[in-house]
Amino acid sequence: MPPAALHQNDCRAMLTIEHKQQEAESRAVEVPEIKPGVPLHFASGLLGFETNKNFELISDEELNPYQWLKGTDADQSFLVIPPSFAVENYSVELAEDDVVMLELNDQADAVVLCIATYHLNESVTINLKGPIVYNKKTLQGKQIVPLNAANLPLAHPMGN
Amino acid sequence: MLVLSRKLKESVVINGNITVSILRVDNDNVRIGIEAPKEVNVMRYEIYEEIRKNNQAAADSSVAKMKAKLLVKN
Repeated sequence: MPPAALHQNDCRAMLTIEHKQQEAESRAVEVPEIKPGVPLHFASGLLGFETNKNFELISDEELNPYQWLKGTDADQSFLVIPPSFAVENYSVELAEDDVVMLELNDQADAVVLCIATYHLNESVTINLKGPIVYNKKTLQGKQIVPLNAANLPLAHPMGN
Repeated sequence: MLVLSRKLKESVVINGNITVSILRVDNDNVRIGIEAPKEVNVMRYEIYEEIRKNNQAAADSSVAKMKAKLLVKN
């Protein structure tokens, strides 16, 4: 029930207003501002999700070094991480068609990310067999099955 | 499933832009050649299934994690 209108010189009015503001602030749920992500386009979608072609790659200090690959035209989203946090000497052999499709004549334009799965026991594994590669200049990406995929693990355990 | 019989060197066309050719036939091994647009993924079934399932599990598992980390900040 709103308070009765108080004269503007009545100091009680000012105190009342301040108090109400404070209450409103503490009741609000803090929704952190998430910086807009990098829009990535996957012309082939992801394996099993061929129609999920558009994603936003979002970074947040809460997730670091993981990033959030958020689906923008479908519900599926993924947590991803550069494989260098898990393994040394991981190299992805791209088929010629993939090099052409992603325009990766310059290797330096390539960014590799691996999809992470969180398990019931709180452990995390990452997929080294089907990494995501995107061109940081064109922002086109693809889930690649490297030529050496047979030797690569689907669920490589992450430490810590 | 559409079932066809082909002899060595014969082909099948899919969707007007994918061609599957029989290159070699041994006793229990068939060598198949596939031409398809770059955007069309072609791979052995087992690898596709493995990665598809992993993607599904990853997507399912990430939901709670992302909600916990990103929507409730202390």
